[in-house]
Amino acid sequence: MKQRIGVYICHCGGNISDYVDVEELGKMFHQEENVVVSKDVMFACADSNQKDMVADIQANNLDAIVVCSCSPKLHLHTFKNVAARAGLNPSNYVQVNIREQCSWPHSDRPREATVKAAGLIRAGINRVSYSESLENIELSVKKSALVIGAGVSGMKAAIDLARSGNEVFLIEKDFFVGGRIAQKETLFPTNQNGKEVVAALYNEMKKFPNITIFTGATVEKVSGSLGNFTVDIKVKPRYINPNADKKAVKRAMDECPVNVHDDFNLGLVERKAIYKNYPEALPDVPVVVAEALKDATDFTGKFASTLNLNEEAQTLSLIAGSVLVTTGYDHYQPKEGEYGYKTISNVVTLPELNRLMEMNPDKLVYNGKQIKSLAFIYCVGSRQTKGDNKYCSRQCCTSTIHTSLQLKEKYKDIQTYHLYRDIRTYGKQELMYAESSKQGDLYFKYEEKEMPVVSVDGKSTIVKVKDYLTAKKEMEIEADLVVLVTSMVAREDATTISELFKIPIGRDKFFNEIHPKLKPVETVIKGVYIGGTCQGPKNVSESVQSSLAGASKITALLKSGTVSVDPIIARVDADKCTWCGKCSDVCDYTAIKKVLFGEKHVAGVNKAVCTGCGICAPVCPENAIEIAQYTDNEIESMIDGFVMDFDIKEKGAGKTVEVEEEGKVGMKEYPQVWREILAGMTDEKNTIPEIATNSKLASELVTFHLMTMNRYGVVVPAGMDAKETYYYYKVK
Amino acid sequence: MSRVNPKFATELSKYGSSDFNACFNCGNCTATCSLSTADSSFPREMIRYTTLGLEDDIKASLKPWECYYCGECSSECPRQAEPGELMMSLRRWLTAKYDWTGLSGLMYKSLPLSIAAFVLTFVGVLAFAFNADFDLEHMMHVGHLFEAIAIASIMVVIFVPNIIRMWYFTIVKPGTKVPFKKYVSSMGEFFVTMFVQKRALDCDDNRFRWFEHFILVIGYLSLLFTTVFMDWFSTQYLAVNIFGYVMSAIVFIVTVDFVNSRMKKKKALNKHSQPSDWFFVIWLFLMGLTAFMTRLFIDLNILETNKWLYILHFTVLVQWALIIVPFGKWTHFLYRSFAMYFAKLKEK
Amino acid sequence: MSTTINQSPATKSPKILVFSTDKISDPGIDQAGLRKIHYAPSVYVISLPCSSGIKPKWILHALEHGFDGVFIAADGHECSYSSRCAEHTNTIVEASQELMKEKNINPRRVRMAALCSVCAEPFASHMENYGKILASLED
Repeated sequence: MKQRIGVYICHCGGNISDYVDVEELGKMFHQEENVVVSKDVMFACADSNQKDMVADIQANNLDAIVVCSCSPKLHLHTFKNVAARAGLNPSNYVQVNIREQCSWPHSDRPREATVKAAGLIRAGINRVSYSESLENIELSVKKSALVIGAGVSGMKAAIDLARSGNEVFLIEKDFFVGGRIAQKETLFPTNQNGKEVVAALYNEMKKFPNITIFTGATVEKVSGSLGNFTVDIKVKPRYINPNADKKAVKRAMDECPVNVHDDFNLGLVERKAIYKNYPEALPDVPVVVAEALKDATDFTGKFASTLNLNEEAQTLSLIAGSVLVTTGYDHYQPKEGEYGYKTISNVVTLPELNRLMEMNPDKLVYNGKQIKSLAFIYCVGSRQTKGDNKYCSRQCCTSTIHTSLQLKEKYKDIQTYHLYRDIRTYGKQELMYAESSKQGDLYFKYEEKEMPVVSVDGKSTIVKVKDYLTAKKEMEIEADLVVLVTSMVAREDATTISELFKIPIGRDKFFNEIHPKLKPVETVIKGVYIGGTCQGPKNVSESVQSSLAGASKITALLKSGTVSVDPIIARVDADKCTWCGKCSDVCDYTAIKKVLFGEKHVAGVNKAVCTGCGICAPVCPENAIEIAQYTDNEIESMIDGFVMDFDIKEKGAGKTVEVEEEGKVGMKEYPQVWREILAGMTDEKNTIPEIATNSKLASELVTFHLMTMNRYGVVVPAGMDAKETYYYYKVK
Repeated sequence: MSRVNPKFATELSKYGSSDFNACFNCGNCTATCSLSTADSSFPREMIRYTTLGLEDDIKASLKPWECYYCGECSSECPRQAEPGELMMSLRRWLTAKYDWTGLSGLMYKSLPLSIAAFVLTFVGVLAFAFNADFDLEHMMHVGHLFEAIAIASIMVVIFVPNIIRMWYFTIVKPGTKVPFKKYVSSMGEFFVTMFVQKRALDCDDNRFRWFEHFILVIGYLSLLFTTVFMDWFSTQYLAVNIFGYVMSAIVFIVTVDFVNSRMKKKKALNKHSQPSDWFFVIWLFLMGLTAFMTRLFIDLNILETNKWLYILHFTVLVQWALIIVPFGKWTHFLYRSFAMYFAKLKEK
Repeated sequence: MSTTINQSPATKSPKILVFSTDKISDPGIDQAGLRKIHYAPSVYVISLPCSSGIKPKWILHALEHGFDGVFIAADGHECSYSSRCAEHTNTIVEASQELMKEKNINPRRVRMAALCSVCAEPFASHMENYGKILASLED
């Protein structure tokens, strides 16, 4: 129990003191037994007050402090640092929020606000009296990072991580790097070929000896934690003899008699059973689909020295200090019959159209028919108020319009129809939308409850839509090709990654960051970051931005070789614990394991893994688990503090009146900075620059405080100077 | 169910429409238009119909005629889609659709064809003059006769069928049932529009444009009346003579201002002049001027020695009566008046 | 001249203890203050990392020591710790109600709702509604 507590109650320049009688409260808590210092201060966060606090802590030998001011979200760390500077353990500090949760919401009832503030402060004092000194947990970290997924986000992050001197392991599930952008012929807004971007990034990576790339590799097992993850990966065989002659390999590819499904081209064509995704695909070694060549013994016999069909998968163990997950997304796959997909022959998805365009350099042909008109149906698989994907996929409007412009540029005489719900070409992308409609692309707005219908009428495909802009006139559009603008969805294998690394998954099935604004690439798993589209729909620039943010975070984390982790984690009282395993069951992070304690088994907490969420605490039948800073004593004493009765004098009663009658502010003493300003006011007429020079304070600070001092009747303005630039101030 | 027809845009561009595809249907044009009402709102709706190529809906619509082209919509358009000009183009296209001969459409779409027609009529007049041995009296007699005959025959052969077609497209085909009594009671609207253009007064544009147009219509109709029925060129009455001078002067003075604004392109409505617009204002100007000069030469007794002037006047007259009146912009005078009349019929 | 005001009307409106979460619902409650959206001053807030960490005994402690009701401002599906957060929190509410039954406390004196990080108005209206419910309870 703390015996020498310091309490500071902030006026916040009136934000609090206009409604809460902070002076009275300051006096009231001064009388408490274990409170040594109790003050009301004008601005608790001001430098001068921080200095005063440090001096108080040291002079009075305080063992805990309570600052009653604004929300801890603003100044928790400010005052923790004050405590640290004064030699006090920062855990012995409690911030009480009497602004956002007291003076402001109850500005309509100042007296009751004062009562509530008293309760809040009493709770804070109670809580801090149970506080313990906690030390941050220091962990040593390996200067190596694992990047999962070699798409554009992963490759850019790998390069940045390597440049900062980290060992980088980049693993890719496919046999070739590049991910989704390799499937796009042109990328907005630079109109670069996706494959060229991939090649440039790959060649850049090759310049760094500290990047190791594994293709055809998957994560199998993860153990360890921040600073020291052990990740087992499985590298699938390519079945190509590493010593084989390049020309022979090329010949084997050309002569291969068996065809297989072409994943890269989304099944629009077939490919040889010895393949590369595309001729320039990297790494420049083809892959053999060994299963498919089982019966082609003549062929395999001929190339026996080139192929190595007995090659086996390898398992490797990688040690990484931190992990960046950039596993990307899947294209939404329309259900059979959704807008005629798979049931009407000329209905394709946008990614399929993008592949078709690359495969058809001169004339756009599908199913042997030249395509002259295309109808795009937007929001397929996104913004479904009743379906799974409630989110907007964000990049598809731009992607479609860009494709439409490309179509017109590449093939002459193309008419496109766009059936949309809302066009969301935010930012610079809006210019493309303008360009598209100027070129005569026709846009039709439809409502979700009146979806377009695709049907066949003789030889032609008809899309029927109720056009919003002609008061829902029913329109028929004849199109040679109907293109479904499909959304980005979380990868099917995201759940595997989520289970391995314990990354939380959101309602939309994408990985969840801690906070969308303030911790956008961090996950609750310490040392595991997310970047790119595995987190949610993004365009290429946004994906790269987020993965680079993750890379910077990792670099900063790994830089010093050690990392200190917040000590607010679960603790098990080994005497009470009987090991039932319930805590271990509910923990999403496998932070709790059965350990031997003397003669018996108890729950042991892995300090590096525990997030301090507290889920384990309520499930313990023995009440053996507590979270540091949220112990039963602390919480229950806070509750006791809230309900305690107070004897509070009404404002204007008693001693304060006398002080106010003299026109002085009713605080015990002025803040240091006010004293300095008053000392700098040498005569009857002082301008702000003069006061600033005299008191050696920044003029902005003087301006700011003079305004408050004026409000409290400490100083008053006394006309303006001759040039009417500055007000004169004088002491009242 | 209507079929989308993007080719209509290409067709309409031959009638002078510009960048209406840039429209993103914000509706600023309709909001800013002082003539658009809740019951009859335009021009956004017409732009949408045009974009989608809904020819039948456009043909059934009287809205293009309800617009008097103040140009405010075009100045306010955030995408520079020129809605005002689109309405103008639709009027040209409709004129072509109403015309059973199809000649209007051909002339709107082809400048060479229009020029050929002008040259042909000029040659015809010259041939006639040769044939008449340049006998001024004979020529003037025929000229006077021509005017009366041309008016009557164009009315019967071209305008009556065309108006019936317009009535069919806008009233009968969309299935509007109008009791006969209403046809009679709504007649007032027709005459008010024809002579006063009252509706144009509601345009946000300044009143001067309406006034100019008003006195031009009055001047033109009076001049027609003076020359055809009061035989201005041969009259002995001083009052008729002076009246003719004044009216012809009004016609060519006002048209000078019209030509001038089209050249300066200061206002939205003057920015996109089509050949048909130029022909209309210039020939109107020439009509007024040559008529004025002819009578002046008669009064000064020098026409006998300047027969070329009368031949010029006669040429302008023939071209006006045979090309511009039946197939050119003159028709808007008629169609607009009928459009207002039909709109009145459609009112519930 | 000293006036004791602990018998002011504030104490008449039901005392509600709110458990909020550091990252999501507490910022939502702060937001209500920031925007000067008023709710009863008899509402007190304790912020925790996650609503799944509330011990039923704390709830009981509050109800036995002067609070009229406990309101859990949970993260629901937004929770960054666990996708099963709502489920866990619900279990806690049920466990508390079991304990309360033993002490003859009306189970409606504990309540749970999801609150987002900008849910200022919803918080105020939750407090108003819950206050009314609590005021009507006679146990």
